This record gives sequence, C-alpha cells and structure tokens, in this order.
Amino acid sequence: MSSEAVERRLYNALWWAKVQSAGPLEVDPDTPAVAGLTRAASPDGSTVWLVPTLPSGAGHGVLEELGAPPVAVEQPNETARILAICVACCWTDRSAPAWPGETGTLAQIRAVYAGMRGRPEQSSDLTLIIGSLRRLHATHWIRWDEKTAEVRLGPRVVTWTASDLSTLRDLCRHLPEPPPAELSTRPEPESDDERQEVLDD
Amino acid sequence: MDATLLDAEAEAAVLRVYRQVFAVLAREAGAMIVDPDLLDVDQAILDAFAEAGSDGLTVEQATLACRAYPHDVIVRRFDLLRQYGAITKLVDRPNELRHRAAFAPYVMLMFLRRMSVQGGQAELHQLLTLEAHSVSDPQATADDGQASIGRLTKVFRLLGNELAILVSTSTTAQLRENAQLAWGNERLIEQAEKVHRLVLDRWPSLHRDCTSLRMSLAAYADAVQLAAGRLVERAGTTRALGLLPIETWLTFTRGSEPDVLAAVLDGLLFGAAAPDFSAQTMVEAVETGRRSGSARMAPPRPTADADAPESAAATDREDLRAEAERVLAGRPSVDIVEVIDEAGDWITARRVLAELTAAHLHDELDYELVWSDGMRIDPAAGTPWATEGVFRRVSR
Repeated sequence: MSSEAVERRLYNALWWAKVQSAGPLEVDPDTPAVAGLTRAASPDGSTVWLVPTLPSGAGHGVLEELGAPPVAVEQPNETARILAICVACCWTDRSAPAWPGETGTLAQIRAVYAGMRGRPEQSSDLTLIIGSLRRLHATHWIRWDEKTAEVRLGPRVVTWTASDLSTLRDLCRHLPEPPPAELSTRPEPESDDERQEVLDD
Repeated sequence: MDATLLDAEAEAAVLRVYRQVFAVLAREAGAMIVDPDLLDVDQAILDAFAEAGSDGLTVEQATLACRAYPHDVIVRRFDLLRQYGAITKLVDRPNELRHRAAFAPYVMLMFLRRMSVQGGQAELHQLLTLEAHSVSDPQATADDGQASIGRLTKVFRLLGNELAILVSTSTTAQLRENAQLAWGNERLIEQAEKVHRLVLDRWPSLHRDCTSLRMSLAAYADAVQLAAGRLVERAGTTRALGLLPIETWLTFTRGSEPDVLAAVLDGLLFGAAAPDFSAQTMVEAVETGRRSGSARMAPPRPTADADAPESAAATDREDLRAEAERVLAGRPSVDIVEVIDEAGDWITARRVLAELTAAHLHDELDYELVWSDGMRIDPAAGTPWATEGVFRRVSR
C-alpha cells in the first residue's frame, strides 16, 4: 500500500471517529471529501455538514429485526410529531430535497400543532413543543435557535431516501398548512444553485 | 461438561435420523437409544472384536479393551448387542464365555454415521448413482428399469410429501430444523433425471412409470421452493445482510479479548448512537396524535336535544325580562321598599326579590339591583323590616 493510500485511510478514519463520537459535524467547506460521509452544504454555503452514509438496507430497521432496543428518546411519539411538523414548516419546496429547506418559526409550529390536535392551543403544548425541539436539535434532526425562536431542518435529514421523502410528502399534505413565516431577521438571500448541494461521495 | 443447547440440538437431529432409519425395524416404540454417544460404545465394542481375531472375546476382555468407557455402560451395551444377535457366543453351548461379533452391525454403524451427516442425502446420491449403473448395465431388463424407476418415484414422493407438509403446517423453527430435507436437492433431481433419461431411452415402453417419476420430482422441487421461500421470508434482511443472530453477537462480545473485539470492528463504520425517526414512525406518531386530539372533543349529541337547552334559556330570560318590566312599570327605576310593600306579605315579596336579583345577575338583561344603607321599619306593613335600595334599568 502506498503511503498516500495509508494517509488517505488514516484521514478517513480520523473523520469517521470524529463523526461517530459527536454525530454530524459542521466543518469548513474547504475540507476534502471523506469516504463514507455525505456532505450536506449549509444553506448559506459557509459550512458543510458531514453525515455518515448508510449502506442501503442498513439502518435502524435492522435493530428492530434483531430485537435490539433502538436508541431511546424521551417522549418518542411527541418528538416524532414535532419533527413531522418541522418538516411541514421548513420543507416548503416539496419537489426539492428536504435539505436544506427554509427557516420556520415557533409560531408556525404552534399553529400546525394546534391544527393537528384539532383544538385550540393549550398552555402545556408549548412545553411539549419546546422540549421536543430541544431533543431534536441535540440529535441533529433539526437546528433550533432558541433566541430567535426559529427552526431549520438538521443535517441528518439528508439520510432520508426518496421513498422516505414521498411518505413525508404525503404526511405534509395531511398536516394543516402552516401560516406564512414571519422571520425575526432577514433571511440571507438564497439563489437556487446554492440549495441543491447535497453531495454524495 | 459444557453441554450447550446447540450441542443438544445437533444430538437430537442425529437421533431423529437414527430413529427414522430404525423405524422399519423396531419391534415396539420407545426402545430407541436416547444418547448418540452409545453408538461410540457400540463401535468400540465391535472394534475390540475386530482386534481380537478368531478367538473371540469374553465380556471381561471386551470391557478391558474398551476401558475408555465406564465399565457398566460397556456391560449393558454388550448384553443388548447380544440380545439382538449382533454378538453371539463363539460356540452355542452353556457356559461359553467367548463371543464373536457379526459384521453386519458394523456395516450398519458405518451407514448410520454417514446418514447422520446429511440425513441420508449422501446415501440417496449414491443410491441414485447405483441405480444409474444398474439401469445402464447391458444385462438389465425392462423389469429392472421399471423397479428402479418405481423405487426412485417412491423416495422422491416421500421426500417431497414430508417437506410439503412441513411447509404448510409447521413453525419456521421446525422447518429450519428439517431443512436437511431440502439440501442438495438440485444434484439429487439431476441424478434422478439422469436415471429417468437412461430408462426412457432404453425402454420407451416404460413411459408411464417415467411420467410418475417426473411428477414426483416436480413435486419435490416445488416443495423445496416453498420451504426455501418460507425460510427466506422469515429470515428477512438479517439473513440477507449476512448478520448473525443477536445471541451469537452477545456471546462473542462477552467472551472475547479486547484485541479480538477490535479486530472485528476494524474497517467498519457505525453510526453514533442517535434516535432515529423514519418517515414511517413520524406518520404513525401524527396519526396517534390526531386520534388523541379528537378523543377530547365532546361526544356527539342528538340534534333534537341540542336546541332544547338554548330555547329553555331564552324562555327563562324572557320571563325575567317581563317580571322586571312589570315591576318597573315603565319607570327608569323603582324603590325596593315600594316593591315589597306592593307585594303584600313576605312570601310573595321574597319571590319578587329573587326574580329581581336573577334579572340583575343575568348576563343578557340590562337591569341593576342596588342596595343602600337605610332600612324601613313599619310594623303596619306586610313586611315590617325592609332594606332600602333601587331596581333600575341600566345601559351596558
């Protein structure tokens, strides 16, 4: 094995170790590609997320088949519901990939949540929503900005396959339509070619 | 002795084959050996006889030759073999101590050992080769060919039937245990077809028998496919990914050195532990969320009942309004003492007061009942003690 190949392997191994220990990593866009990791460019292109590439057929479904418990999350159903609502709010262009999507607001999420529940908002809802948002943020499913009360989809959503996305498209149709977002800050102007930077290597 | 479940299972499988083999010879049920190791004892005894030469062996000599096994076990097996005639006295007379062994049991032992490896498949292969030999023998007659085809037809029917019944009636575990029936089936079928071809070419008159052989072969192939289909369906992606059952992993991780463990994971990429939300879980979560939302809504009422309370409230309100207007009699306000005196006795007065209070408290009626500090005392009146106050119309 040439020394270059060895270095290459070491380089890959280092990144794998980093990503495996910390979950998806946000790195400088100049970082060279790493085998086995999918690059997901952030909306403004200033950084790139490295997400592990799952071989097809592998995934959490295998855990279920083996009878092994999945990684536990508090209030899994509530959290999954909020994630679905975040997708409905942030994935506005349903024909494009879910990543990077648009910025959604807490107000939108609360409105859709109340609509999904089919009743006026209750005071306990906000506690549930914020808790779920924090959990999803910690596991990189979404990026939740607590200060501005805004949410984006997280880098992990690039692992959704085409069939996942079509299921989600259906799901979004069933959820109530979110009200228009009123962002507290001006979103950075986005051009179309910046948005489809889900590179797979 | 670290007997594991797997060992026990393997033993059971071997015994099952033996039991099937001896089913045709057994005099009564339940007399089969329960431990395959006893076959080793038998073999050791027969080996000892082979070594002994023409003089034969006494029981004592046999146990001595087989001292690797417990003495009583040897004696018991020896007796049993003698009862079945596998070992006989050298000369049939009383007090004869020396015995000789027949060679047939040993052949049977060899056969059994082979059977236990593949449940008779290897033997079936060889029998098929033998059949092919015999039907291609220049001296063979059409009757030989017919007998050969008949035997093969029956063997494959039995094989196919057993498998088909297992597929349709048994659990997957049972099916997997008996998967030996499905092993090497392609070679078997090929060989049988070879015999079939030979016979059909040589004796075209046997086409009827050949047809039944073809049918039994096809039935067997179908049964094999069904069984394989069920096993694959059950095994799912776990098998498709070439993953071991989880117990194997657990045992391995508990019993391995760090180096061995590390070597296994070398070059593998594992996802960091993170909760997964597949699209399916999200759909299910939203569905259940919806249901719990609708569960909190008021149960549906019949439409007829829905109007009634509304109209009752309205009548109530109109009654109060009429009473208030009657008391006011067109004036903007009226003194309470006057109202009480008009009513006469207290019994009537308190009913009027109750209605004025209700009118005062009613959301939709614009009347007000205001009490003041004074009190009218008049022994001559129907209600001698009356608190002063006014009832009046207000604009809200």
